[in-house]
Amino acid sequence: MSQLVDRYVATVLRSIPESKKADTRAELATSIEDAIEGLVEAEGRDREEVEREVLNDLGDPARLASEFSGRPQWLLGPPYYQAWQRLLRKLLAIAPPIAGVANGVVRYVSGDDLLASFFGGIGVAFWVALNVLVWVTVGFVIAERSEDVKKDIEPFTKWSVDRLPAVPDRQISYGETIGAVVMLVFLIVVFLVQRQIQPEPFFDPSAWTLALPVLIGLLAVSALFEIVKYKAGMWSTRLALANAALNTVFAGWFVWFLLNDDLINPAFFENIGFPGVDTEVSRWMAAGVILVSVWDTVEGFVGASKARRGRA
Amino acid sequence: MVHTMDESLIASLRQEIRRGSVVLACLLALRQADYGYSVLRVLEQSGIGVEANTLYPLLRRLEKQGLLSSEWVTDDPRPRKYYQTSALGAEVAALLVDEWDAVGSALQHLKKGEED
Repeated sequence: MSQLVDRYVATVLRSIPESKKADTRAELATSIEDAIEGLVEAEGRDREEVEREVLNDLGDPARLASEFSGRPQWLLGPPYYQAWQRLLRKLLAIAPPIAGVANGVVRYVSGDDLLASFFGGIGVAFWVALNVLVWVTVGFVIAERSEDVKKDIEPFTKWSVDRLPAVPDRQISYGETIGAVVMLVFLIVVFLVQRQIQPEPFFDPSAWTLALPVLIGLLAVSALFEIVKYKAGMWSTRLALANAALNTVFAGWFVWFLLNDDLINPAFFENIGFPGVDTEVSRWMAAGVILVSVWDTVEGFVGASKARRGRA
Repeated sequence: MVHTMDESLIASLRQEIRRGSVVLACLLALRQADYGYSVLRVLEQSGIGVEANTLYPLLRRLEKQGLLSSEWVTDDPRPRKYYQTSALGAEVAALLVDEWDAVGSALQHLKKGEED
């Protein structure tokens, strides 16, 4: 046996189970020699040239070894591809944004500047996304190679008509609308009633000249917008843009006054025994307002894109 | 859009049709015991083209499934592993031949219907 053939056979054997090695070595080596000899005799060609041709035709030794041992030559086959994709989509839509936003908010509130918090959050989101991708894939790759696991996860991977998504005629439900309107009206009432707290109200009394009346006005507009949304039933790009504009104005106005320390009454916290925390409370509230507004804005655009594709 | 005969498409469709025939061809050819390279030649000569890197693993698989039996023969200049269709393999081959004929006659039927 020539050196080239020897090397080829040895490479194939590397990933053949120990118990099959001797058998495979003998059979493969004989088959290769037979082929070479056959071609040399039949066509009178140079042995070295024929050797190369025969081995090239047999192809990648790793592939041949996989074929011999019946191992799958793919990472994820058709039985799991769809389930893998579904799970990955769901997790990637949820985990990285939540982790990123939470990290960004905590950074910002604990004193990082806005840019550092923003990019810190992005970094964490990216890291979480990468981990989700790797571990979900590793899980499925293992499942693909284990009959036991295959059986265990069958209820989650098997498709039936029960999985068909519903095709509802509206995205914005009655209950959601009522809930949102009640919440907004409740906030307006809180804004008005806190004036009565003695001896010092929560919001700075000087804010009533401009900041608070406009905020209450914006809350009222938001309540009206909820009703417009309900009437429409489905999100549309126009509705999502209007929602984004309303959120931007509301959050911009609110956060501007919060971060300038014009909104919260320092005397209120002095009075209840936490002097000096008003700046920190302002920052937390600002973060909360931005979060809720961004969430609500994104929800609008996601809803619009789903409505466009005809599913809810 | 005008579609023309795409050679690579034709080749892949042809290969798809022929793929299933290799197992049956092996089971029929190996009613007479034979070894790897020789099976390759026999199939080639009878018009069933199959690559060596497909055939050798296939022989192993059929052996594992009990459709072929094997025996090492050391009388030849090289020790050779001879495969032979087992009793089970012969039964399966008979079923597969029926299946092949059924597909063939169904296709004939469809072809005639088209010509009418």
